[in-house]
Formats: sequence, structure tokens, C-alpha cells
Amino acid sequence: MKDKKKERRFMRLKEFWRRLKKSKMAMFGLVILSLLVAIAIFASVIAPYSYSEQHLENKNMKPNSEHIFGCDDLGRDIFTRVIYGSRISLSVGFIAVGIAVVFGGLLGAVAGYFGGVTDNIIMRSMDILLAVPQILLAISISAALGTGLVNLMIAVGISSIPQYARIMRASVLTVKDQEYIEATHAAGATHLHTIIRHIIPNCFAPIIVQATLGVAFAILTAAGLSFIGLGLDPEVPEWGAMLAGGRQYIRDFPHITFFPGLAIMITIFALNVLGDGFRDALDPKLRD
Amino acid sequence: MLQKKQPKPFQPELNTERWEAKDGEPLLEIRDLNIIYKTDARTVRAVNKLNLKLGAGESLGFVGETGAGKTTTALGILRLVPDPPGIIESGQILFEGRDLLGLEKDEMRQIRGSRISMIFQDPMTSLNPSMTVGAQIEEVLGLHEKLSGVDLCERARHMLEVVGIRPERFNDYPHQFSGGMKQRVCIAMALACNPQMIIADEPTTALDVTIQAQVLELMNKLKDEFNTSMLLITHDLGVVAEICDRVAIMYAGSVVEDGDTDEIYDHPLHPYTRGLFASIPSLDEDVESLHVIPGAPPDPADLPSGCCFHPRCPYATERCRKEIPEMRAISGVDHQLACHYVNEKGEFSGKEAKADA
Repeated sequence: MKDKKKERRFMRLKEFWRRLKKSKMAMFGLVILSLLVAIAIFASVIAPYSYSEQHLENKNMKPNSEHIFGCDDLGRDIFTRVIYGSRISLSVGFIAVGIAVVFGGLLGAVAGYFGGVTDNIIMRSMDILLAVPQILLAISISAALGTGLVNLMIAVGISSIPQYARIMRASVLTVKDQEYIEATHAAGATHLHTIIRHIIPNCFAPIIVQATLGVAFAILTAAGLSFIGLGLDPEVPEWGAMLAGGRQYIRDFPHITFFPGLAIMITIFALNVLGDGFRDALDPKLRD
Repeated sequence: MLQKKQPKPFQPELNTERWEAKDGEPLLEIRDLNIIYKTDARTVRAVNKLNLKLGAGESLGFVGETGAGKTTTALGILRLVPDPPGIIESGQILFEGRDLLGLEKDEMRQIRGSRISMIFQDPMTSLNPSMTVGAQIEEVLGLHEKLSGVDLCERARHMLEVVGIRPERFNDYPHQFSGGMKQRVCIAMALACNPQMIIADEPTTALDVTIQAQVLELMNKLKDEFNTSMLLITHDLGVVAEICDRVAIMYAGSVVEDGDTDEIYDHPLHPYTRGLFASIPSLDEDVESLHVIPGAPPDPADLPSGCCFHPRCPYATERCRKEIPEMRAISGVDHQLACHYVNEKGEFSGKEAKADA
């Protein structure tokens, strides 16, 4: 019995995979992203040097055969730091967006579905959060929670909840008046069941797109926080912090900012094309 | 796998217990139901003192013009009138001997879909586009029955077969079906829990004529197979004649005439019903223009005094303008109507007052 259920879930996954495969760009994004994840996992194997060891004699060294990405202002190997940085940056990006999507999505869905007073209470609190610039909000949350990786993720996540709540609410409003929602009520479904099984799956497309963009933004916000000293220790390699740290030398030694910037750009590009592919693969109307 | 070629005889094994009527008590009885839509500007009286009876196993055609309150009544039975602005003001809806309006929300939820289910007008929009049809049938079952995953799947496939869809299409999405097929899926969902009663809200309006006939035939067949009562909302008197045992004619939020289908079709008495029948174009006659009932249905926010039909009735008198007619039964037959000028013997004594105003 369980096997059959498993088998059906597997079938659905296979179907999803078959459609995703059709989009070449999405597959390209997926390959890049898998590579990045692999790099993050096997960072200690790939990296040729220690990420924190300073060799001041190599200060601001241009890329050469020994240090292919060059060295930064403290003589640390940039290649190594970019590789280790993928661990922090990817996890901050994904987990922060995960927090924002789950909470923002639920709040938005509840607000849009029930409307009236519930809607007003939730959305006005979201408006209050939106009134504060996001980076400032992240700074204050981070300052209240203290430094550290987990707190950084929470701060970045919470500060982007309002956007997801707004997007979710807007799409719930269009979906909830559809006849099939009425039909689920007529079939005796509870509100919770209706929201989870019928409303959210039909509202997910814009959230997926926003989330892929959001990962990029989360990485940059985390970088901003590290830059002002509220994120991680300067010793810990993090793409945003590396970018911020190299900023002052950008005229003379652009390679210090170029490589972490390139890493961020590649990640974001991969996520965007993959997000597009996900949306198309999940939309039943585009299925054949 | 091979045995699929010949569909197995289907036994509705779930919820087979049927409500036993004591002393001819109807399955569904609506008494003096009032439903209003209240906005700041005005109060729309969608359903006014509506009385209706539906016996176990019976099918009742619910006929009326657009805006007569048919759908509101149907939603009222399920207590799904959108609130705000809709309010069920007063009345009783007795179903299986219990007043639905007095039930807790949770009890009501268990009745929906399981004891009473509904088929909606437009099959194009009443299925969730992001779920396979199989999953949607399973879902209705899962909401009300404690079945394991395999049993759910098995029964959902059965239901597809029952409505004439190959079970191989279980994993297809609604957009891969035609309109008629989608309505079949909706019927399968409505019947999945083997309900005591089905409300079909203009189930064939969105379909083309050839498919209409198929769907109606299917519904009629399944109604008997599942021993289910049916409340069929429609504009189409032809449909009612074909598949309903009884008919209720609705005007401005209340039933003006109801009774046995044959009786009403042979002897329509209420001036409104007669107007409706006169409006049906005849196949053998060649006419320049069709007969119409003069005027338009009244604004439900501003109903006329007395008999609601009096502004359009050719027989209206001073009495009709002042007094609301009571529902009266014609002796000897299943036929009730609300008109001042019909006596118990079914004789109409009204006189055409004005030639033309």
C-alpha cells in the first residue's frame, strides 16, 4: 500500500522532471547550481589554501599561476575564500528566503483568504515593516539578535517577509473567487484544507519567481550586514563581505572585488533561469 | 489490467444507508426561508418565504428566471451564502429530520459533500486547474471517508468509470478534458461519497446541446443507480419534463407553483407558469414573434406589494396588489400554487382586466 503511494509520488516527480528537462536554460541553471552546491560541500577538498591564513607578502597579489584569483589586501588566497564563501552565501541565501517564503506566504494567504479584519491586521503590520527600508530593518533585527550565521539568516529572512506576504495576498485574491474554491467548500473542506491544497498551489508561480530573485537579494543583504559588522566575523569568507572589503581597492586591484562578484552573479543567474523553468514545469496549463 | 474492457457493475458500497421517511416526511423541507443580501445602500431580498419539499429518491426541477433566487436557495441549503453580504434571515431547512440552520459549523461541513453535494454550472472553472482529476475525486472522498490510499485511488478510478471516463485518464489535468468530460468529472466528484441528495445548479447551461443530452441522461441514470435525490436548477422546461418527477416554479424569491411534473405541464394554473409555457416556441407553428411575458422580473431590492407577479399579470386586480396569496393545494393531485383566483378544484376564475395598457 505504501509502495503504491510512493510510486505515485515518484510518478509526479518524474513528470515534473520530464518537463523541466525540456527547457535548456533551466537545465543549464540546474547544472551550475549543482556545481555550486558540490563546491560548497567539498570546499575543503578543492581549496588549495587555508581561507583564513594571511601571507602579507602576497598582499593584493594579481591573479597568477599559484593564486589563480590572486590574493586580497591581507594576502589571503581569493580562490579559496570564494570556494569556502559558497557555503555561507548559499546557505544564507536559501534559508533566509525559505523563512521569508514560508512565513510571508502563509501570512499573505491567510490575509487574502479571510479578508476583513484579519486582512487588515496582517497587512497593516506588513505595511509597518515595509515602511522601514529593508536593509535598516535587517540591521535592527540583527542588532537585537546579535551576530552569528543563524541570526543573520533570521534577520534577512524576517526583513523580506512583507514582500512575499503582499505577492501571495494579491494572487490569493484572484484565486479565491474562482468557482473551484466554492466547489471545495460545497464538498465539505475546512478552511485550512482549502488554503493548503487549493489556494496555495494555484498562487505559487509568482512566489517562485520572486524567491529566485530573493535569494540574490538575501545574499547581498547578508553582505551588507557583514560589511557594517553585524553579520559574520571578517575572518569568515562570505561573498558579500569580500565584495565590501575589496571595495576600497577597486581602482588599483579590481580582482579583489571581481571574483566574489562574479560568483554572486553566476549564482543569481543560475537561480533565475532555474526559477523560470520551475514555474513553467509546475504550471499545468503549459503541460502537454 | 485486461478486465477494464468491460466495466464492472458498480456497487455504491459507501454510505449505502438511506434516510427512511417516517409518515411520508420529505427528505428536504424548506419552510419560510428568507435570505437577504445586505449592503449599505440597499437590502436585496433574494429569497422570500420560500417553501419547498423534496422526497427521498425524487428529482425536483427548480425553474425560474435569472435572478429569481434559485442559486441563492441552493447555497442556502448548504449554508454557503457568501457572508457578508448574504444573511439567512429566518426559516427552517429540514434535512433528514434535522434543521440545517441550527447545526454547528463542523456538523454542517460533514454534511456538505457527503450527504448533500453540489454540481456547479460551469465545469470549466469548477475544477482546480493544478490538480489531476483523480486527485480531486480522491480529495472529496478523503474529506469524508476513512479510506487508505489504495482504496481511495481504487474508488476514484471506479467513479471515473461510472461517469464514462476511461480510468487511464486518472492522472490527467482538467484542461486536457473537454467541457462535457469535465462536467462528468464534477458528477463523479459529487457522487463519490454516495450522497443522499445532489444539488445541480444549471449543470448543462455551459455545455453545447448534444453534450447536454448526454450529461442529463448520465445524471438521470446515476441518480437511480445511487438512489439519490436531486434538486435540478434550470431555466429549461424541456430538461425538467425529461428528467424530473416534480417541478417548482420560482418567481421573485418564492415558489409560486409546484407539484407533479405531468400535472403541472398538463394543467399549468398560475398566470406566471402559463406565461412561461406560452413562451416556449412551438415546432409546428410558424409565428412572426414569440410570446413574451410583458415587463421584467421585479427588482429584488424593491419588491411589489401583494402578489409579486401583479405588475406583469394580465389578470391582476386590486386584491392582488394588496394581499399576498397563500399557497393552496389542488385537491386530489400533487399540485400547489399561490394565486387568489384559483380554487381547490383547480378552476381559474381570473378575468383579463385590461386589454392593453
